Amino acid sequence: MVNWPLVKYITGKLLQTFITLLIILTITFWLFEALPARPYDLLTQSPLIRPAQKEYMIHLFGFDKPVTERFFIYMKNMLTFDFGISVAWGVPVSDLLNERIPRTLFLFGLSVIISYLLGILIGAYIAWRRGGIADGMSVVTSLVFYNMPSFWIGLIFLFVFSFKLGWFPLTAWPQFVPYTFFDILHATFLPLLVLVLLSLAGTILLMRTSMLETIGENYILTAVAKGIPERTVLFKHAARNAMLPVATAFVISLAFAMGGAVVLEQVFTFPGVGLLYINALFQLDFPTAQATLYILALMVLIGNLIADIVYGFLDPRIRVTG
Amino acid sequence: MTVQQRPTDIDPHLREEAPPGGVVATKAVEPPPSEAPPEKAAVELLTVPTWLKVVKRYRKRLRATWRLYRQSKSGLVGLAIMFGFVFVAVFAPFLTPYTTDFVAPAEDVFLADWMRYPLPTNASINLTDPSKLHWQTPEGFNGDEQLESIVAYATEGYAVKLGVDLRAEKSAILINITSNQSRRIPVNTSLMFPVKFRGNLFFAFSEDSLYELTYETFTVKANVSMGFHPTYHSNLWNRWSNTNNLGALFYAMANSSTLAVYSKIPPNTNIGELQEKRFFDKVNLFDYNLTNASEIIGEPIMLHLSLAQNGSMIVVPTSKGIVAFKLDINTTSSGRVRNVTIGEIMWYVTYAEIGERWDREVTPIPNRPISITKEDPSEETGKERIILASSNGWLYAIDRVDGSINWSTTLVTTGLREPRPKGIYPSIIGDLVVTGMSEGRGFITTVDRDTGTITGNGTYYFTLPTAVAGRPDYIPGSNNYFFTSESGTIYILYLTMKLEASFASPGGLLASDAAYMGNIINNKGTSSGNYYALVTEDGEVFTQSITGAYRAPLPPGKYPSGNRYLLGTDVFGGDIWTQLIYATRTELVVGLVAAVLSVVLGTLVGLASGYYGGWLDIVLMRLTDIFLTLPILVVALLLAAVLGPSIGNIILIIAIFSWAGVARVIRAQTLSLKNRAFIDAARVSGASNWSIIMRHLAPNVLPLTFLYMVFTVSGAIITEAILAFLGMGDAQSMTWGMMLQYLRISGNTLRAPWWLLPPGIAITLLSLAFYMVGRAFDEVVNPRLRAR
Repeated sequence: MVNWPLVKYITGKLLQTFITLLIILTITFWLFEALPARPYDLLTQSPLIRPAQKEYMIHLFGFDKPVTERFFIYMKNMLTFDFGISVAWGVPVSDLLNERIPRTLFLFGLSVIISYLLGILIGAYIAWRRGGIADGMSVVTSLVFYNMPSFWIGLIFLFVFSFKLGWFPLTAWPQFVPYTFFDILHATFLPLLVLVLLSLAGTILLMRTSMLETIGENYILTAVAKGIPERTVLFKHAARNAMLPVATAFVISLAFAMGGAVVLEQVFTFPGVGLLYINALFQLDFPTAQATLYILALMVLIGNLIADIVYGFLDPRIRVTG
Repeated sequence: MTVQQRPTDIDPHLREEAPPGGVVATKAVEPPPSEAPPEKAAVELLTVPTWLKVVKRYRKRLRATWRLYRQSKSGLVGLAIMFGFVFVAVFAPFLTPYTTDFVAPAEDVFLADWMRYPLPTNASINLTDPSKLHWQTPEGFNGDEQLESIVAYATEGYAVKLGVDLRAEKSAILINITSNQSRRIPVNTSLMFPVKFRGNLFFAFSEDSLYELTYETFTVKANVSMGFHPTYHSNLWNRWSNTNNLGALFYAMANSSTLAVYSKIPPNTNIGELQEKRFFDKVNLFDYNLTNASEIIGEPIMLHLSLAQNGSMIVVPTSKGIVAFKLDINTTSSGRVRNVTIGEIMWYVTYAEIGERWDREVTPIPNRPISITKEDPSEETGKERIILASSNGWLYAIDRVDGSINWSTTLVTTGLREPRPKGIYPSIIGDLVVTGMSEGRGFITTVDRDTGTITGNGTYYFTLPTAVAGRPDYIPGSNNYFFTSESGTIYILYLTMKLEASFASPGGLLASDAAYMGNIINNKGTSSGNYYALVTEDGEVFTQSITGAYRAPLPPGKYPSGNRYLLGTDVFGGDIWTQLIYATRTELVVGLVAAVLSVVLGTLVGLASGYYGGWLDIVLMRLTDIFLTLPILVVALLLAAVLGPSIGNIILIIAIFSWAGVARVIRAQTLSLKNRAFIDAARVSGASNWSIIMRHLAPNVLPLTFLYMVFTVSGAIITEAILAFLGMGDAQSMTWGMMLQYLRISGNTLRAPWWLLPPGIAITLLSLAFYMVGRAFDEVVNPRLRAR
């Protein structure tokens, strides 16, 4: 028996996502148009460049075509994942992306997973012990870390652990080939640590709040009154229900993780997608910058889509009414 | 199990990465209702509320809110911190010892770093006897050339030359005396002048002969009998040409009664000549019928035009006036010089005339009353001038062609009340440098050569405790003037005559002028400096980099200038504490304005969307969806690149990315309120849509709005810091994020913890304060969060 409301819901979300993607693509296209520079500007700065060469550059980048025509070419290329060749590095953009996306996914994915696992446990526990010392201290620490600028704490960690103590390399990726998985872990330990700490802070706060609300529900009171052991109530009844918003948040976090990559990759010189974006943008490497932006936006959209679908399965109201 | 929305989940959207629990709220279904139970509201609405009643209602609510808020400890702490920052922002000038454009003075920032080398002891000559030796540095030396040797001569007839080499070795610069030549020269020199000519010559004067000595070995090249003993010498006019055997070298000398010119021409190799030819001519001042006896009192100046043109002259200062003698250069038709003689007097200006014309007393000054403008004639007037500095503090410009006065200007200004100029020198950059004494202090100033006024609108002058010794040097690379004072202190001034650095003489009195040695770069290319050298009477050669080693950023503490830097300085010398305090203002403005902007927009959208529903709702919600799912930082960077970095644009960008979350929540709240009884009642009693929204819905939504505003401030501060850190901040304004960015860019991240920690701590505290206030307020608005 097909669950029509659910199917309707999912299709609706798919359509929404696609339209949002198109709109985002359009907006970014116009933003790049509005930039006060063109990708060939840096290449044709030298006075030795002859006008014919400059015209060839313009033609190569397709800027001799009218704007609307370029827009449609852009849309077609983006939707077919045909990204062209990077201006700054001279290699196909897809190569760059293929090299870097797994790294960023690894770093941020791993950090989100760890932080959420830890966050759920810690948040549940301290919410149960509301008013205890652990509660107060965890809340204060989480609050402070939540409000810290990530790049700053990253710089401090770099200063203390990489520079002063020398435990970790200054660049967050193994320098020498061949490298093992352990080498990767060693090099990326600091950014992982920073990400986990910051993410953990928010997760703990969220889980705690969610738990507090759940604990306020009557059925918890009933369970305790019934004499069910505290541990069981804590984990089997309260936490499992309080986890719902956190679980959704987890999927969303994965989605948004990529977007925030930019800053930390800059601080730790981690060769991932974020650093690629910044470097491309500053070197007016339009193909790479546009492609990177597109991929990042796509990941976020897909992440949200998955979250919506999961939500659809979980929330009975949607299952029933759509 | 319903998914509840809570504001704590919304604001992380503004933070950089993985917003934990980020967009959960947007999946909201059932918002918790805010205040007054519906029944009460319905009763109140049977009479249309006036603003007075609204205000009264608010006051009651505010009091109730405060009572609830007070129960949260973190809320109070947050509020306290917030007010602390506001206090700091308002009273910033009282909390900081310096202003925003303060820069640590040179003595704190530079570390004078001397290198010293004892003079070699030589059995035959005592090099350290100041009564015997006169140290010289080659004249005609302009800023960029490297000093190769320091020369001394003794009146008993010997000369010493120390070859000096500054070499860069690894990361240090070493001084090396490469050669030490001393030689008895067969003259009893009373005066010896190094002359810059083809690998350098020395002209040495003995009783009545002029000797030409080679620079390398002090070998006598020529010996011309003069018949008089000169005490002054002029500049060198070098028209020597090796390629076509034309041209000549001219040099004038004088004592109190005699003027002489010495010239030599290259051999005519076309006809097989091997020897240079030398000519000598002298005249006696008394042979000319000048009004009253005059004596020559200073150095002659050779003013020259090309050999072909007439008009070259030698200008001589005498006790009664300035005399210009014509220089007769006799050339063949092919241009070879045949003979050089001193000719008639072209013009003669008496000091009395100048004085009479200007009605003040002009007295000549004994040393160097005259200097000359640059060799190239003034572009404006096409004239070359003789500049006379008179002891009453006036400068006179005398036209070279006919001796008329072009201009006269006084040096007297607020800081120089009784200037007594002693020396005028042409500066490489086109104006004149005047040194002298004023009211017991030495002074140096730059003067425009076309008007005689002090440059910089009369501000480019500098006074020092003792007189300026010798001739100031100019270093083009760093635009610095550089000279020693008579007490042995070395001064380095910027173009504007502002003191950049001053160093006491490293040891003993100076025996020589400090001479510029050129720009030395070490092998690694990691450091370079302009170095100068000097010799002291204690017998040591010192070299030093013009500005010493650069030490900024400085760690916190007290420094030689007496300044105390609480948190140290940044790489430019700016005080970190001051920057931190003043940045509070910008941060608060940015945070509050961005938050207000985004929240107002979001509330309006939410209200409209929730109330009207239908197409408007769908369109607006799609819009908010898009803004919610954009990767913020990435697009913000792009937007900042498009709009340009400025505070207004940053505020705009933050607002653009923050309003969507608010809109969502307000819409949900509106939806829930829309169907309550009191709205129906209002509609029934004839209220328009607008008034319903403004009078009934808005006040109920307001607490939620305020809540989001507080959280948005918290997020805005962090977002601004990130954008600044990535390079998109406004360079004109100082914020904590910009401080961190400057830190990163200057490469001091790992070296200056006093610069790294304070801004981050400030950002964290301010953001934390607002966040805690928000959380506490959240507990007020959302009763379920309160402790049981």
